[in-house]
Amino acid sequence: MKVLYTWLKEFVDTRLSPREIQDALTMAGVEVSSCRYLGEGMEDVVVSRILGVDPHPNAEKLSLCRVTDGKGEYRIVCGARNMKAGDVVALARAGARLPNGMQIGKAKIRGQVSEGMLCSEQELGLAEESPGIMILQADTEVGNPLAPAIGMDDWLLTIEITPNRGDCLSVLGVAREVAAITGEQVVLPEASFAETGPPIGEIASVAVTHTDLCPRYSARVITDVTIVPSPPLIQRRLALCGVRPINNIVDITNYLLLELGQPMHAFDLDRLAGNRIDVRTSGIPRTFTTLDGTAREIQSGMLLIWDAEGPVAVAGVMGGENTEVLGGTSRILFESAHFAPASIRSTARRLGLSSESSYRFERGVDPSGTMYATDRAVALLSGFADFKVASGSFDIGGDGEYRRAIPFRPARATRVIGRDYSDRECTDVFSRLGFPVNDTGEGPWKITVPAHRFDIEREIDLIEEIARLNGYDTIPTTYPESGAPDFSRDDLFAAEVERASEFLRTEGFSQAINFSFVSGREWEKHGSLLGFDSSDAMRLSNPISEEATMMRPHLLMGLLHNVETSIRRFVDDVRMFEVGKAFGKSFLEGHFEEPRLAFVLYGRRMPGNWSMGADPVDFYDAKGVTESILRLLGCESIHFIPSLSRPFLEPGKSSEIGKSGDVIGWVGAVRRELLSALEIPGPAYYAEIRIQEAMSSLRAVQYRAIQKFPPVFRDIACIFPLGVPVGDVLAMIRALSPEIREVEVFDVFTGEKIGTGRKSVAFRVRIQAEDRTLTDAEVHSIHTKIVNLLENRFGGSIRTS
Amino acid sequence: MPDTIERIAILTEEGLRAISSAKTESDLLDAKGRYFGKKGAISEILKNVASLALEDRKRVGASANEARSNLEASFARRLGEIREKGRRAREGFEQIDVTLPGRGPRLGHRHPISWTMSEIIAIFQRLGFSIRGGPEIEKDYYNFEALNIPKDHPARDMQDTFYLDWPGGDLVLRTHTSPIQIRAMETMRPPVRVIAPGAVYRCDSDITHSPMFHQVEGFAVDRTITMADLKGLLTEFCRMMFGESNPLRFRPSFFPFTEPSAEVDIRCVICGGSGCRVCKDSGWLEILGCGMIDPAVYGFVGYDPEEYTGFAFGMGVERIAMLRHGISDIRLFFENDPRFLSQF
Ligand SMILES: [Zn+2]
Repeated sequence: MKVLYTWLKEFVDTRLSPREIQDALTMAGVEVSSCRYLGEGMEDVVVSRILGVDPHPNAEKLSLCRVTDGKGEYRIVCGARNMKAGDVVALARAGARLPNGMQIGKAKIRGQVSEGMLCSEQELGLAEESPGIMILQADTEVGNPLAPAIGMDDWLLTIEITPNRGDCLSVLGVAREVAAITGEQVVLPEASFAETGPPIGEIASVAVTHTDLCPRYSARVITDVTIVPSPPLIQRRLALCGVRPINNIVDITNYLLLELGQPMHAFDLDRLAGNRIDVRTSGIPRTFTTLDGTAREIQSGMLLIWDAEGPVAVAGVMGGENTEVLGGTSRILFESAHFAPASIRSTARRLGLSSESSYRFERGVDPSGTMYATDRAVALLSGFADFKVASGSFDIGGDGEYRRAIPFRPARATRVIGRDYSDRECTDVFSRLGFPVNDTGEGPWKITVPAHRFDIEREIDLIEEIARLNGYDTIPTTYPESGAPDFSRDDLFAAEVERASEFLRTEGFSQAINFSFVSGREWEKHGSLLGFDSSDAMRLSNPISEEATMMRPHLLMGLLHNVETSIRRFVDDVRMFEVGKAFGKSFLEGHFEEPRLAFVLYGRRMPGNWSMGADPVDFYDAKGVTESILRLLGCESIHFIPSLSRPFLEPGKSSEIGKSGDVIGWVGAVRRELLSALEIPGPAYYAEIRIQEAMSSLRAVQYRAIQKFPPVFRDIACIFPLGVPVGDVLAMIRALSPEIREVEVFDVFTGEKIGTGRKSVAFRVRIQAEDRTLTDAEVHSIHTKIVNLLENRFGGSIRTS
Repeated sequence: MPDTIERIAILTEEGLRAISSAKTESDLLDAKGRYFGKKGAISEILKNVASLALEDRKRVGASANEARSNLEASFARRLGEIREKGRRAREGFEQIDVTLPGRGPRLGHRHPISWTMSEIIAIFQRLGFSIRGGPEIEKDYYNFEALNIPKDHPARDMQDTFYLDWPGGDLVLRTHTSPIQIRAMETMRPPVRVIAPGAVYRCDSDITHSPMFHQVEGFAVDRTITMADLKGLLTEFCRMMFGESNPLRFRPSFFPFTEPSAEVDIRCVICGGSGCRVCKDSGWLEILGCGMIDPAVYGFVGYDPEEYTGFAFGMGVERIAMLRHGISDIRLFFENDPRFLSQF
């Protein structure tokens, strides 16, 4: 629903600015999804008058206008035809910027200087299209800014109303909500007029047969009225709020619908057979044409408005074509009724017809406001039209009591919400809402709820009012019973490690748990082979045995002993992993302790697989598993560096794993000397990952739009000197061009055919652009770049097959 | 402050010693990490410089920067020496190319929805909630009636429902996971603490709506549960899901089966609150709906509303996944394009 700030101010003279209203309402549960200044972009446009219009000497379709803003005189070239001297227009001088972003400059058009532009409604964002420039009311004062002169110095609030708050579907309803927040007063405008016509009973009659579906029906009659367009203010407000202006009578009913939330209908009294109204359901199915010209299938049980001969309206949904107000209409019966919500909803749904009126009736319209709405309509209309008002009115059901008394216990509010609400805080809220409180001192209070608050029927509904109008931000944050568990990075850590472990199990690795203490004697025996001076290790002062004297600085020895044991038990293929900590002395903190994930790989690559042969595992098996684990830990942009840093791994067959300058692990063949010391006959491969370092970047993956344009694949085979690291080649190819999306190695071999000390490597490159299909020439140029790189940077020679 | 300068001097000396005594590249990187790497001691000092007085800031900053460039120069020198030594040492060995990609399984990918869903579930399981499921073809009674959404009530407009072609016409595809509340409460007595994840359906399709999507529902009923508890629980959840410091707000709203009701907004993760297209310039993103279970609901499951209070909440998994991963079109989730899936 849309509400204008100036309109709202007529009902509550609030101190809040439009933006403040937006925030306040939103935080009270009436969400204001947008708040737009209507004069935006019109700051630089001034009301001006055309002094003269002359033909453009060089262009038949253009005119030269002389325009004044009251101070200066400007020459403007204009392409429109709808203006003449004396017209008041909207002038954007050079330097102005329009709502649609257009920047106005001084220009020469076909040899004539133009010092600005005369704007059309469309250019000002006031209309979808416009036939010519905007011509203002002739009496508009020249020299003023445009926005206030045309009523656009205003704000339009767009409000999302939840189904329970039908009472907010009007300017008045929103004003009440603002008042409930600020404590300001809602003011209902006067609705008085002189009754100069004949007694209403002599010219019309009203009856309600089904009072259960229509508890209240109010009506007034006016005569001798002329049907003309509404004044600009009415038309503008309707249009801005999304209702098309039609004529003064229809407009006033729509205006009241927006203002008070009371749907009204205007019948042409002379077209009502017998000048009478009856409200009753349809007994038999029938066809009825509503005023949108559609024939509707009315089913029995739907509530209709009847005249002496037949239906004239679908009650609360839409009027009929047969009694529509037309140009010649002079006597009007204004209907302002209250219909039962469920009946209207059912009818509207079955007819597939939802109107502004049915939408409001479904959600509840204030039954106590029907008479005021008709009076307000007549009073407003009398401000700009001449007519006579029949004396008296119809008001069937007008004596009903529509308010409800609901019990309320402040202590219950405290119990449900979990915040202490003082009696004072409760009475304050009720008073701002206009709910009288009766506290006898004994038992629950009695709160009287006015008829417009359909949503308040029970104590819990009142508790909600207390909670929301005191602000949800004043509710403390507690935790059910035992208090909030304090989760940390460790929880996440555990979950990620479990995922990596699950993967290793799926890959045939069994989990080992070795003691954290190792034999200091063994460590010393192997000396520097273990890569950690035993004097840097943390030692126990009371070890449980000679074999458990120091805390392990890495996880290798435990897993290696597991392999040794397995072999002795005639198990010749071993895959084991362990998650545990490494310990040692450190420069700064005194000592360190660090979680690691390690695995060992020994024996055949695919034991027990009849088709894949019995190849032994090698470095690339261990590396593949390591890469997978790192990916599962969310570790990206890693690189493998050949190194000698870990003496327990074979030089030339081992690698450090680096990530932005940090070493996050190592992988390689276990040093032969260690294997023979443990009597392990074949090669074994080992990897160890420093889990926290590997995990340190924990950001949710950011999605990158899928490439829409087709890829091109290029295969390139190249012979390199043996020592060229293929990983470096891959990285440099990728860095060559953003269009190179993927580079894959699909073949590597050495052999006599290509000569010793050389290797052949074949790459597949995927080339793809983000915004276009690449041309052959572009692909060729990228291919050439790659070839140059391979030859010049890496000493390769391209193989042509 | 003089302490800081002195500490920098000590750290520099220690660092230089560690660098010159490094025998291997990894020793060297260790030393870098400890003293002047991204998380090294000197970098930490530099990070905290902003909290010092202006005068001190200049002096400490200059001194720390100088220390760092000293250490870096010495690092680079030693790295060259070690590499040269390594090259000479390696010449005697058989060498393989360790930079060639590893051999091994090609890992598959998680669907981002199930990824997000399992993270949400894991958080609530840790908070003491157990999982309950329910049918996706659901009776009108459970999907609407017992949740205080009677026929011919405007609240039914909040969800476009799929109906099954079935005699009696009262079978729907559940429009939310809330019917599980009713089913669970019918068979359990308080205290209950349940989380209910699953697919739900609404007759709606555009770039932010899919006819099938996923929700996680949660609720708790006991003698002393309050709205403050609900706030506490969801604050904890958002902290774990969206990060420690991302502010959130509770805003009154309406759901037929809770009262009072609220929507929870988090500070926009795209613009940080300054306003953008995703948050429609509000600076906030609606993330879930919640409230105190309406006493009318207890009437359907035979709980005494004077004795028990409880809360319920529900969230759209797709919406959360879209925010986490920066996905702007919900339909991508259901196309299962390998180029999409392979990013997760
Ligand atoms: Zn934003």
